Amino acid sequence: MTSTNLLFILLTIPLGGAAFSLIIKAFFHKTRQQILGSTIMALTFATMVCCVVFLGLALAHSAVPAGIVGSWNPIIGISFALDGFSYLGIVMLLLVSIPSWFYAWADGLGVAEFNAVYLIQLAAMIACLFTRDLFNLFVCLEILGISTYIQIATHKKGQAFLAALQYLLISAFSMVLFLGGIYIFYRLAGALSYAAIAQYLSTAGPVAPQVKLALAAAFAMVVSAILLRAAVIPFDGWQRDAHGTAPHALSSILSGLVIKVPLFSLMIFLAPLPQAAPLGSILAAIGGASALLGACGALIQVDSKRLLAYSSVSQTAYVVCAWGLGLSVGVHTAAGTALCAAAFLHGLFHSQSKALLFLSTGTATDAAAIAPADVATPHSPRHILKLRGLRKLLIASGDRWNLSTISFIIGAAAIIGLSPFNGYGSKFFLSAASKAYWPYVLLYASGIVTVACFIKLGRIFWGPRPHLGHAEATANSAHIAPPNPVTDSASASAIIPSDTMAVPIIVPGIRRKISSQLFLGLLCIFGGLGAPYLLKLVTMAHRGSPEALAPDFRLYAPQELLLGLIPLALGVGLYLLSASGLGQRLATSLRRLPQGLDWQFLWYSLGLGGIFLVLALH
Amino acid sequence: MMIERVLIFILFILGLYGLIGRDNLVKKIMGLSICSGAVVLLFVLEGAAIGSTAPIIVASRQSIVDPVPQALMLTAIVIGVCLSSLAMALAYRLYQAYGTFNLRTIRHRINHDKH
Repeated sequence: MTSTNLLFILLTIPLGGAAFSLIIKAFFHKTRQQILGSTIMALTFATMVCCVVFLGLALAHSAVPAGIVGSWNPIIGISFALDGFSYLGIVMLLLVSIPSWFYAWADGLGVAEFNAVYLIQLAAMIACLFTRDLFNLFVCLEILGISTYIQIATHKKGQAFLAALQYLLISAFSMVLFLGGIYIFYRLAGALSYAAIAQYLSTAGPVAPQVKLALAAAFAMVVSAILLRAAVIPFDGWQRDAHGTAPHALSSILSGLVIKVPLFSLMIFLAPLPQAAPLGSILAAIGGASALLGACGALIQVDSKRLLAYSSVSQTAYVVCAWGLGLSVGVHTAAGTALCAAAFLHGLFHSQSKALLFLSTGTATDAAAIAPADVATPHSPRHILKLRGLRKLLIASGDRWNLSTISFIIGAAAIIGLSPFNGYGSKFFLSAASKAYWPYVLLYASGIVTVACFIKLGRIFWGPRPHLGHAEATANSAHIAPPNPVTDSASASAIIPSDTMAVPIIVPGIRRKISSQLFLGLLCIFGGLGAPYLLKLVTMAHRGSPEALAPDFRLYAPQELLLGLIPLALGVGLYLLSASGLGQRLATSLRRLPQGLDWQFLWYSLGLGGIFLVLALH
Repeated sequence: MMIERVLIFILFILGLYGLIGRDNLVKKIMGLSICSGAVVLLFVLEGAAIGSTAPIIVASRQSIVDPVPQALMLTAIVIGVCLSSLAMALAYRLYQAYGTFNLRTIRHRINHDKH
């Protein structure tokens, strides 16, 4: 079997799994649906892992699978290629989506419709990574979008429907403009494959002013649509509501993968283009500002998931900034290669650590939500300032070894960039590669704010648990959603220490949830330990030849470790400032800034117009 | 060609007004469909400008219109229909939950429920 066949099998398997999931829904009784659905998901994931392993072996020994789907005429066929970069992207998808689905299954979400949409989403992300045709990318992004809107609405609450619809409206509008960009490219280049567009732009020479304007408009429309999907400020308005209302497992997928894959696709499209340098400068500026503003946005939040959502905006912006710098200096120069490789590595590591944070924080807040006398507030069981002592609550909820708290610590340390976790490695490489450029200051400042954010979030695990009055506790119990019908028999029989809880609590599927978290936690640790080797691998994937190895960074040199303590100390100081009365009042007033759909459209239009103007005037 | 492009632009602006200027969710969704339709028309117009006969490749036929934009737009139309139907389903669920299609009222009620 050739590597091309393997690639298409990899794409077909999740689609087949989705079809079988729906068939099961149509033909089997509910009790059998669970068993058969889980079996299909297990088989689908197992087959995909085998395909990816064999593809890796094939890539190591033979040429990159590339060509036209169905061997059609290049003018009308769809180009595809699986280079090392796309391959590592697919590995990232599987590393996060499998534990996240396992968590969702433990949470009782693993029903047929959910599984089908989950697999379609996965297939769309895989296709985004190996397509080399702009219109096909549009189709893949739309499929990814539709599956995401459905998933956001999974909770079937009014707020979730609104978040999904708002995201749909602004995202669909941006994709209409993306289509407008495709129109301009087609008119100018006469084809829509990345190679044809790159060839046109390389051979066009000096162009007429109106063509230059048209190209600026096309790039602005395509790039702004992708940046909206990547939730980069100012295009990020949809993200906080969407991530905040989705179930934890889906938030982890949204933050870990769905906002990154479009960005990777954009990078693949832009890298060979001669016009990439001015675009790169814009992306670097937007990324740097977004990293800092996203971290500041996270610091003023009081909802745990919204804090994590804003943190994703910030961390994804690191990737945008580094890639932008890489494009501006030239992706094939040594500096550009180092920047692009570090950016990809940060995207890869962030997907794991953010998924871990969403899952571990979700487990903890769920434990608070089902504890009759331990909910901090009747209307927001995720209120960071009111939740305390969840570490003890988790022990009583069946997490006997407090592994969810440990998972949170690992995830937070990775995001902050503490040694030896994966975030330390990627942030170290990013710093080393971007130190010579001005956006580095923004990234450094963002790192300090990130420390403050995770100290703030981490406080929910420590401190004494608040004891509410009987009346309030009753109100809380009435507000909480009923426990999930899918219960883990093991966790249900967990021994609950009598000294920590007065009332026994059962967190459904706690052991399976912890298993998912542990898997991601181990990835964060091993990723950190193997970061230098992974950087070399990514560099090879980026340049496409084993000779192009990354510079030999001294990742664990004592002076580097000591330098890493400076942002940590500054972050502690910033946290204390934010927790003061003045800081709280400022945060409250900033949270009240308007954030509706109209504002999202306004910010989107401003961002689009800004990119167009800069490109047109360049 | 110029007048057609101006008309398509007006159509797009009309859709944009519906999408941004109106609070009713159904009108917003209709606005989105009109915007999408305008871009589809632009593509088809572009394809039709090249030749004059139907794109059936036979020896006797010359000067066919460019079939690629039409093929692409068929896909875009299908995606647009999916998006519209999903958006309408979500709007209907919001109507069931809050008894209105007005976005401001829905947001107000959600905020009221929160506090």
